[in-house]
Amino acid sequence: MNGVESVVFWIAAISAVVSGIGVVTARSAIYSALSLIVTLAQLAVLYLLLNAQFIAAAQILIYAGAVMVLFLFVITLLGVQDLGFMGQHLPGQRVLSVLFAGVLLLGVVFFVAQSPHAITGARAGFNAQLDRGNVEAFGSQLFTVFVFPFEATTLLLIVAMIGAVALGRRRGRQQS
Amino acid sequence: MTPGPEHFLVLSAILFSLGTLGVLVRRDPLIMFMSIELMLNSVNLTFVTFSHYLSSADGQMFVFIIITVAAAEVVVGLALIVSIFQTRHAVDVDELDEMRG
Repeated sequence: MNGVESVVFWIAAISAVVSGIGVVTARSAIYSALSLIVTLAQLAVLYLLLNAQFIAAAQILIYAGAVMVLFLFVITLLGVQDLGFMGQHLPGQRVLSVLFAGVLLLGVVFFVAQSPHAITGARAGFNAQLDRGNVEAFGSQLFTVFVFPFEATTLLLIVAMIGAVALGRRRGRQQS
Repeated sequence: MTPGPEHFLVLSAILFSLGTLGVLVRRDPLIMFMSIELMLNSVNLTFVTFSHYLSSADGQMFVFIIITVAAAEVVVGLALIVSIFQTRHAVDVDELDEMRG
């Protein structure tokens, strides 16, 4: 990576972490959702740095475009509720939560630091295809090697759609 | 400092821990749900990082399918939250301790 890419990485990484903290600590769900949109956009920038242009575009279109709009729609539909800032029901829940998350972070960072040279053996297969364009290389892989997961995904989408319709219909019948 | 794979992995670990913290500490199910989305996205970053540095398409395929699964999950989850809200008029996960609808 050259100098410009390093600068872009650090800006995107720091703003992703800051807005990620915003997701967890925001008082209102609206602010939490807006922070999450910022995090997702920064992750799309990082995907561009990693030569995953199609994933970056899908990230913006699906997450920031569709999923977060659905979140904001539901938040405004339900009305903003204030449950208090990180109120706790169990004794010591807050302290233990921070402790567990910290242990998890330290553990993962420890293992990443333990194996700095683990990423070797690059097969030079996919990056070489990227000269033709990321979408073409991606599509040829998706419809040859990964056809079965792709078809399974369509089944999953149908199941999710039926589930959402069933959840909505049952409520309507009880009201009438 | 030039970023290498370990920088991306540590960033991913930070975001995953933040998502875990959000799930553990918040009581609003919508914010817990968004924290789960944050965790999914941090794992996606790990996949894309390895895909780039291993020069393999597998990671990007995984991410593509994870994004689809996450969209389906959001649809069903939000439908459940709206359904619960319509019967109870307040959504606090600590009060949702009944199995009966």
